[in-house]
Amino acid sequence: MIRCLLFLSLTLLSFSSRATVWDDTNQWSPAWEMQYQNWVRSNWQSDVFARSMLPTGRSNPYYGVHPDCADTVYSMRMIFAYENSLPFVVLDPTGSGRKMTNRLKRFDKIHDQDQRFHHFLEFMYDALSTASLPNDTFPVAITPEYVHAGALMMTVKKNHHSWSVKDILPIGVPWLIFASTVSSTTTLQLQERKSWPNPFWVFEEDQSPAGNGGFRNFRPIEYIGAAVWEVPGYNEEQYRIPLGKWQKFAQGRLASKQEAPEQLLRRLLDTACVDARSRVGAVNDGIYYLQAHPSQCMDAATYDNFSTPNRDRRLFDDLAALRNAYRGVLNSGKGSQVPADLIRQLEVIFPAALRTASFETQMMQASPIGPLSVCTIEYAPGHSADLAEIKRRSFAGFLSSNPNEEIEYRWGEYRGHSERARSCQSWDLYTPDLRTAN
Amino acid sequence: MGPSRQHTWWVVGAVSLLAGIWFLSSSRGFSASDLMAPKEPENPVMALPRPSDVSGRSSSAAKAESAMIPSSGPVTFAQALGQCAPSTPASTPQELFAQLSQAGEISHDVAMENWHLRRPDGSEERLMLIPSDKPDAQGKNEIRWFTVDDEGLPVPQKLPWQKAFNPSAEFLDELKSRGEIFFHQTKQQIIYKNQISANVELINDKIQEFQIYFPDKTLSCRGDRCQCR
Repeated sequence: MIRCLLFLSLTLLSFSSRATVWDDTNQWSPAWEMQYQNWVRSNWQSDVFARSMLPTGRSNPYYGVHPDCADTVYSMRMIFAYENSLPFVVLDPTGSGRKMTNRLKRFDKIHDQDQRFHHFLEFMYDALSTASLPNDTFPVAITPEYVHAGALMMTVKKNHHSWSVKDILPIGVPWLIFASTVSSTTTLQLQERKSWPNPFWVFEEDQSPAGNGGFRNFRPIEYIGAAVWEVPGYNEEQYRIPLGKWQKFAQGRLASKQEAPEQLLRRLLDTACVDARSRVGAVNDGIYYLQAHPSQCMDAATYDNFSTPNRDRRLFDDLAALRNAYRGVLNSGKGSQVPADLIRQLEVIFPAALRTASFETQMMQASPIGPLSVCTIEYAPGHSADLAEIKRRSFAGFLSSNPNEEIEYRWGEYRGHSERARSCQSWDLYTPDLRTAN
Repeated sequence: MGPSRQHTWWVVGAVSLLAGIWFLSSSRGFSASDLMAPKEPENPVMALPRPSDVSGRSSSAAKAESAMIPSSGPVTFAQALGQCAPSTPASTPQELFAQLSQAGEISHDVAMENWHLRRPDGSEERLMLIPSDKPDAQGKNEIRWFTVDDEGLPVPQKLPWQKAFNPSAEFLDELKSRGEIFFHQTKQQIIYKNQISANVELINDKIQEFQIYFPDKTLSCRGDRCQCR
């Protein structure tokens, strides 16, 4: 009899212990915030959802999750809270004024803790978005005290994107991890960049606190639901810096050491190369869809799924940033500090760097792959281009974001619009603004 | 009742009591702060009376809330406006927004919109219209649809993506007509002339919270608590 009762009690206890997604036996504190930063710096990787095993040999409980950009930002905080038995709290974005926490009861019936967390993540992804980030975060001063590993960056509504800050490099440049089209539809790998997003894109048409763009931190949980201006550390400074000086200002504030000209050029070259390489998968997604639906035009939603205007703009912006940096190095007389082979490679990519981008684009000829080629990519079987050629096509507006185009048009071998693209409706085609590359 | 049976019932009672105390304490909420999803909305401004929320707020919830709001800073609307824009006399936020609009609006966007519906069977549903997070959405919206669980929190429901992305007015009307709308929240972003912009939150068409960003100062109000900084 007693054994039966003890069994019953233990069963009750085990049920009650599952009345949360995870137990928060720790509480957030300055020490835990510091641990969060350290954890993001060393553990927040672009393969967080793609690797099946953790470095410890344990199976990865987050494997197979498909977050979008805002989901990725929230995941950074959620996973740390889960792994360290800390509370996770966000405001219900549907307007109830309630809070959504790790103490949700709806997953009680899932006995396996990791499975329960997996369901919790997916629930949060379905409810949260970039639009809910202002509820759960606040704008901060651009200082190392606030802009560090574990912070986030978001754009204004027009461009609707967000990045998690993995770290701030000693040269004052953010190392960002984020989700984009490819990672949210075809692969589990997140993307990363060690460079500044274009401030004109981040704050496009609204560089005011109303737009919620720029750097932000997660709110302390006791300020979830409070007015944002009452959160300690709330700061509007980044909205009052002229956009033309924004990046230089921010980098100067965050840097602990100067970036040498060679380091600058190699970093920006690498960023542009990553953009070009990651475009392959995004374009191929659209190509596979076209092949599966050869005689069908895309509706607006499908078109949107496979078009790449933001990605194409990012590639252009990063090439423009490289061009501007190269010009800066040449104009400041620091070209001699850069190895000659790198200068020769850059001369191929930017043959008239000291002239206007418009002039350079008009005079630039097709660039065959050769010994000075950088970042050669094969975007389709038998179709390759190096960064100089991709830059030429990007600046000339030949790269097409239109998913109705065949691969030669998407990559600018031929200039669109193809017959197929002309026969279908298209939306929001991207065309570069060369003035920003001067 | 023999001694062994009495002993058994003592054990039953003690174990049950302990289990009960443990269960209650584990599900009671966060001990350090008011973190647990509350039965009533936490924010008095947000918590407009709703058919499902007719009871008053508990004093402990009110205490917890007042503890989290810093005591320094907030002043009345008139005082804050006097500090931020002394040349713009307005006795209410509505009047101020009307004056700003008259001076010239450059853009006026709805950043997000929520509707709460009461279905004929008494259940609640919610609709949330937000700019889509799809990377190349280019500012198009998507609609999300939720039922509500017994904690008052949203339960996502599937909508056909073709309809949910960039939803038509007809589709939105169809979803809204599933019940009686008793709560409507909008968050708006307005850009005015003269480098002035604003964030405004309205619930059932009443201003609940706003920030107006003047070139060098910001007027912030939630309910009747304001500040100029």
